[in-house]
Amino acid sequence: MVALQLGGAPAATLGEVKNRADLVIFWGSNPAESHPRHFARYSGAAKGRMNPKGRKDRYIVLVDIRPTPSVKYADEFIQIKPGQDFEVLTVMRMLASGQRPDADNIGGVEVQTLERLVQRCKDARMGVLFFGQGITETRGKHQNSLVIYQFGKEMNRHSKFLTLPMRGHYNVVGSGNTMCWQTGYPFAVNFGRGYPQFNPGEFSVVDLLKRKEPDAALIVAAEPMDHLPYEAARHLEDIPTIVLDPRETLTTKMADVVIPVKHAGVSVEGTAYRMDHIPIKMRAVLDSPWPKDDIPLSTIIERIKEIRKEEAKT
Amino acid sequence: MTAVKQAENTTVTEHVVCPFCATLCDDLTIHVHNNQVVKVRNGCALAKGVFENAHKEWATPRIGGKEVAYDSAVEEAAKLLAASNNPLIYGLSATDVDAQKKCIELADLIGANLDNASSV
Repeated sequence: MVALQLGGAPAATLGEVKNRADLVIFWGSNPAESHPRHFARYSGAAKGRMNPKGRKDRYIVLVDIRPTPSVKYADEFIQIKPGQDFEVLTVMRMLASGQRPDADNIGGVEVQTLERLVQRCKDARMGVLFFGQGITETRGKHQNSLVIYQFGKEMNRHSKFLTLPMRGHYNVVGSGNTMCWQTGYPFAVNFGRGYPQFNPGEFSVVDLLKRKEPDAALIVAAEPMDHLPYEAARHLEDIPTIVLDPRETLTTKMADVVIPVKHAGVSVEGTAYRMDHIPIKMRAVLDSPWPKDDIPLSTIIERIKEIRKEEAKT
Repeated sequence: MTAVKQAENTTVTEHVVCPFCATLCDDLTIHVHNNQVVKVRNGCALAKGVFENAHKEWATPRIGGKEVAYDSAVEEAAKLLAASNNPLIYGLSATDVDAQKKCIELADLIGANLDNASSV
């Protein structure tokens, strides 16, 4: 996200990928396990306008630090040393601009292999680089994504080239988009001064919790006790924590207040944003006795306004 | 909505969207019997996990681990947030846009920190 703000991104919808891409690279992503139907619907076997034979019309490259179940879907697997993504990508940028590094081997990969990959990117009708948590959640974080975006821009001088993150949670794109629309910023926003301020590192959840700054927490449709580093999540055990969730989770089990809600996309309709920023209306298939989560949130907002008024009187 | 009632207490819904990963596959067919998903067609293993387990382990309204009336839990949440000097609102990534908008409205009202899973 920070990389997106710094560098911009050559992007398109997954429909474009399906119809046009003849080179697909997955970097630090294991779609066979994390996004199992991504291959079939968009990036692998899917038949498109310019890819009538589906899988046969695409060359798929997987770059990761170890072989994963996704390897068997790829034409080529490039194994790099852990923590060397930035170095390898930087050398690919060098190669793209016609320079050559002094070394023959970068991050466990022969430079020749990278040269071939860069040439493939240049020759592609449309190339796509999908990158996953192996890029965004390892050392270097947004710098890794930034060098990918820069490589993508460079490639657009030679061919059409896209760089797209493999987003995880089904509506994590929506949370960024909605926050941008309402506050101007995609995440890590603070309203303490009465207007939104943006500062990752200061107002981002892991940093806030590690520094034990919040004195109360409201968790909406998330599993911090499971997904955040424990040194951050454990602060939630020391402060009043309220959780809105359809189901019991590790977080509801430690929470001070649990408010059950309908499960968006399962027991209530709602809109979510696909990883390529396409809004999709979700359906409901089950009944639930609880209200949708915006209803208790509205009640909380109204009650806090009333409490403030009462306090102002006394 | 293309929910078709088949037998007693059984419905089949087509073009269902899977709320698991951000690929948001929108071609699932879900068979429901007695408010329980009994069959998932077109879904991957993760989608099957979401729908087939959706009727299990529902959360209950609780304060301090004790079950309470729904309104009491909401009231307690309002009191705790109203009393907080530096609240944190976190999550948003596994719910829909309307709920996200309400979270932002609430964060604005109480001067909260607001963050989603992008930052992790």
